[in-house]
Amino acid sequence: MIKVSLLVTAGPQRPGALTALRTAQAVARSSHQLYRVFFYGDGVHLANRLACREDVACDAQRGWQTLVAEHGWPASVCAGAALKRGVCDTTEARRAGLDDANATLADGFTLVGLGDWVDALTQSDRVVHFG
Amino acid sequence: MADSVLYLVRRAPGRGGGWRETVDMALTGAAFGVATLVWFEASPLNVLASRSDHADLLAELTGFGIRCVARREDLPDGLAGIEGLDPTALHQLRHSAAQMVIL
Repeated sequence: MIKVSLLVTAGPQRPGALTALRTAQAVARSSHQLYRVFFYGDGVHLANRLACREDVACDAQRGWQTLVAEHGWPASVCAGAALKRGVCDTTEARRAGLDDANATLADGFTLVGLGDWVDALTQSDRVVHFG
Repeated sequence: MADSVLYLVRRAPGRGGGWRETVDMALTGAAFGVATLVWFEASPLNVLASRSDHADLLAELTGFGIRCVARREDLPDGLAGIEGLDPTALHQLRHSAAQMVIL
């Protein structure tokens, strides 16, 4: 068994977002361990629960959000990249003086620092990047 | 487990914020002791060369012990801190890095 992490920098409109999702599903079904999925850059939009639209880009967002919530995948979203793009959890919403309903981070995702990227890099046997 | 990473950088400094995110990612790894190599493509090199603050931008990386490289023929004059290498040397670097990330 090998430990696999995914780095997702592809936004919802990029093919890489869906390819990453299919890869995560394949790893989860295999005998290997999905150690961490790290969302960075425009990839953080995939964790925005409010951004779904009825188009192809939404397939990637909906797919990621459904599978992360249902399967408890270790889905880490870079806090710095997320906050710049309007993706926040309840803690950050309160910090901005907003109520919890304004949190845009989808269920199952966690805002983290870049240290978690380094953890994925150093603890995984393979890191695969989807940009 | 990966103990080295190569970032192939396509983003140029500017308003988009992509450069900042690339630098932050590289610096964080270096801070945690991951051997970090940054390989610039021609596009960011040309933008860097046109900016008066290019020395400060590059010093952020090189000052942290990050090795910066580029293809020799892509490297404009005046960008101190970036090594110009021939394709064979770059190929070797690519294969000696445990991970490669294109940003």
